[in-house]
Amino acid sequence: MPLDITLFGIQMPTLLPIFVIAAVVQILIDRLMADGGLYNYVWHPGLFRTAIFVCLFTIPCLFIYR
Amino acid sequence: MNKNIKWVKLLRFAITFAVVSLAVFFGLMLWDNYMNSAWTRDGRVRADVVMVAPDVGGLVSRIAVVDNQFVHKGELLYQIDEERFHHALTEAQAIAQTRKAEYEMKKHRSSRRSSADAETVSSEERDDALYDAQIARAKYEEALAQVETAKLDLERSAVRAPNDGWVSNLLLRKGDYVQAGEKRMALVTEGSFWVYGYFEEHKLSLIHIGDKAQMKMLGTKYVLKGHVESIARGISDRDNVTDGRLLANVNPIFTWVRLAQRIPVRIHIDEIPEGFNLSAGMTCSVSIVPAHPIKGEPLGNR
Repeated sequence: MPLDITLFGIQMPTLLPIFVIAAVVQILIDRLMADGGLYNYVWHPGLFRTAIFVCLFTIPCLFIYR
Repeated sequence: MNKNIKWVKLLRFAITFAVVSLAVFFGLMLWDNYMNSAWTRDGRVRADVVMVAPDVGGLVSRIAVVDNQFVHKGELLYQIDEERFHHALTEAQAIAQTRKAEYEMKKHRSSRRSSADAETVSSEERDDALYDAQIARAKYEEALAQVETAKLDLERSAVRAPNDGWVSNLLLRKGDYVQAGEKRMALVTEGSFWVYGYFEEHKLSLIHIGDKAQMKMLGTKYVLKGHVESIARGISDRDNVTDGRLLANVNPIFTWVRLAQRIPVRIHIDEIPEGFNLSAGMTCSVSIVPAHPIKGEPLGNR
């Protein structure tokens, strides 16, 4: 993946759009998990959510900075 | 029932713990890769630029190229008014003729005196005549050299391209006066393009000569391929300026925030995508693909 991406004429690190996409995906996953009752099996939902988000964000980013 | 609750409790801990440790692992990995992989946003395309200067001064009588034109080696760039050089050549030739005549006259005299007997011509006069002839010959040779110089000046009044390349930022106009040695035209040499990547100093140990490099041109999809050719061995020390009284002018310290210096790394361009025109001065992001992914020996001790 490229280091930088140009969106609407603005060049930015690819990390930024990935961050936004990860946030959107996170919201969807959060809904699903809440509906599915997964949070009953989680000790600390806040910590869990943060951890899921970190994973969603860092894994694609690792393809940029190998 | 009680046992079941215990299991659920354990499961809750296990799931959370697993996901959190995964997140920590990936987070640290990304941080490490981000900080310690060899890439920079400050890449510059550069090229060899010849500053074309005339060997002789004079009025420019004709410009033979237009701005950004491609020229081949030896092609005429501009012409300096030749008239003066024609006259100089004629003058030099005239002087050469005079000197030649003088030389012949003195040579003749010398041979006449040397063949005369000692009673008619004193040995002093004979010697003098011989030396005169030698001096005249040397002067004739000097005049011949001046003729050659005049011819060279005439030839050099046509300023030609020293190699293949593009005329850039042409500001010279017909009627301008150019001094000898004054650079008035820039010629970007064809095929001389290279990239300077300015890498922070702590990343230099990750870069080795010969490593593959990718250059993404600013705001485009084009990616150039290349390899590391060399690493600069010196940049200016910004804390070593002297003041008016010759004392060192050292900047005050930021104890916590340290700014990394950037060292130019020269990258040879191996592959340019089709349809992409390089110009010196373009910006690109450079990332180095290390040949030895994990700690190689840092740079060697050359």
